Amino acid sequence: MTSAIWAYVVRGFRIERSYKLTFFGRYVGQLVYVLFTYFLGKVVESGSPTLLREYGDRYFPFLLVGGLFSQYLTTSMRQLPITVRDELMLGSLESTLVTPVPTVLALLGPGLWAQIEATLLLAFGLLLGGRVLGADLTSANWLSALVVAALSLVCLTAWGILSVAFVVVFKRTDPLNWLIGTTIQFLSGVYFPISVLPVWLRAGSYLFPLTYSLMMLRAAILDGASLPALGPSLGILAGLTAVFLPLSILALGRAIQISRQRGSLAHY
Amino acid sequence: MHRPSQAPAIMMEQVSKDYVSGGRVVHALRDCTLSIAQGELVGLFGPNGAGKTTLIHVLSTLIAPTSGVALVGGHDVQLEPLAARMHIGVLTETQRAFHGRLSGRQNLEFFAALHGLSRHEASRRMERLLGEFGLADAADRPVQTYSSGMAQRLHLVRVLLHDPPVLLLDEPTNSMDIQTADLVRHLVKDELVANRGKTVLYTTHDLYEMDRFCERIAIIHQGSIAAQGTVNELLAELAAPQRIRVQLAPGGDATMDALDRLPSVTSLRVVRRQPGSAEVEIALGKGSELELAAVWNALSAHGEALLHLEQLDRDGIGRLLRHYAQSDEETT
Repeated sequence: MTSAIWAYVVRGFRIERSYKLTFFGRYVGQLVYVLFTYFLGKVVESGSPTLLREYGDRYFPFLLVGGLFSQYLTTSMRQLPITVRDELMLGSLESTLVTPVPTVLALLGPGLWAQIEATLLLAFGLLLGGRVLGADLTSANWLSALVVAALSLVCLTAWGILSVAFVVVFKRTDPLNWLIGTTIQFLSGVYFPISVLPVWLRAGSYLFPLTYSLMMLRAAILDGASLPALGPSLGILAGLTAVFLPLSILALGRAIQISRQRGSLAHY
Repeated sequence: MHRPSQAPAIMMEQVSKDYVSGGRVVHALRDCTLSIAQGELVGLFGPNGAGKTTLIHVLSTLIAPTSGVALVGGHDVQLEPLAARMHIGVLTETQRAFHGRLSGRQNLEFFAALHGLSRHEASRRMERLLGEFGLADAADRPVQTYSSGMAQRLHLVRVLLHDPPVLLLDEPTNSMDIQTADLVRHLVKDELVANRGKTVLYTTHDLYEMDRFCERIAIIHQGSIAAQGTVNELLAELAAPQRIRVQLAPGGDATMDALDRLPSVTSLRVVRRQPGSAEVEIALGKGSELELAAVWNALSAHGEALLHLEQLDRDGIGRLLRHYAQSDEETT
């Protein structure tokens, strides 16, 4: 099993590396994104934004953490259904489905490299923002950040698995995925604190796991919050994960069963 | 020389597969029963749409049967799919297993790992098989630069990489030139089956290929296993009419009536009338020698001058083909 997982990672890396421009272009893209947040931060900070008081009136670190982590945590949600769809279109899924790896791994394995690459891009972005562009991350509690990021990743990957289940049955990427992705970016406080939203809209923010993730990650990285200090939000995130993860696994299992019955498991 | 043992490597018992398509039920497989002993090479013949690929997909766990039981290596494909997959190497008709931008070797390394082979073992087997299939020099080139025949050979290397006891080969010589196709047939029959005792289920729509190559043939027709056996056994069982064409001088109505009354004559038609002669095509049931004698007697009894007699369908394989090779759009 471990060798099969590693095989997917190596293959994903080799495929991506074969597109050299795209492979290195992602890091250039990350550089441009961090620079964008830096200059946007300078503009916003020059206006003494009172709404950012709880974040030390600094918009750049606020946006840096929000932007980089939202990209990172939603990678599996965005990429998993796309990689499965790609494998179906290429026809390469069928031959892995007849090997003795579990069907779930054959479906999720092709997306593993994307998540590893996203981790590298996150580290690159944080180093660039913190070390080169001067975002103050010196008081960060990295242990808290790591725990929150790991839990958030599991929670949002469950959404990705739900999307894969959709692809397995309907052969199209989830049409709501883009809409949900955009809504999450808007309501989860990636670009601004959710306190600026009207109360009725803010209620919607609390439905998304990413809202809790970003609040806690900013608290851990910008203010050095410990795990106990993150208590309530961490509990909610754990609760959402406890609901979404088994639900997504059940949905994927059922989707595989339906596709086998229809004879369409490897169809596109 | 390996001898087939008694325990079946593949066993299908009353396997059916129904789909609902466009609001109606399509019977892709109907009560298919098939048993293949270990070390046996069986050809699965059928026209396009007869159900060959569906049957292969059921055995390779890609499709769940609607009813019936299918075992591979003693493992139920529905209840123990992973164990069943450990026993099989599958080459499907629409094979696109490889990423074109990766080399042949890199693609094979991936599949070796999925089959749990150690790097050392994978490397050893890859070198041997790549050499056997004439791909050693191309192994480090991207697969997208391979010809279709080379890619097909690489698929065979992939199928054999983990040394599975059961091979499900769906039209494996597609896209191959004659020499390579012969090489593959030789490898499958003489090396894999005869020497290593592999069990092979080999599909093709080329019955001539199967006649030369397979020990036993199963004919799938409209989703059912219509017949099983050697070509000679199948011909003996064949209910399809044999045809003869006779030229009579002149073909009188009384003669035609006499021929028509023969129980063995299933149809009769005048193909051509010419001054002083008539050409008649007669379709006969089973047992060609006896039936020909009956026709001869009927003609003699009416004093007809038999100018010419031609036995059509002399080619037994051709008869089998005509009998079974009817496209069936209702099955996949």
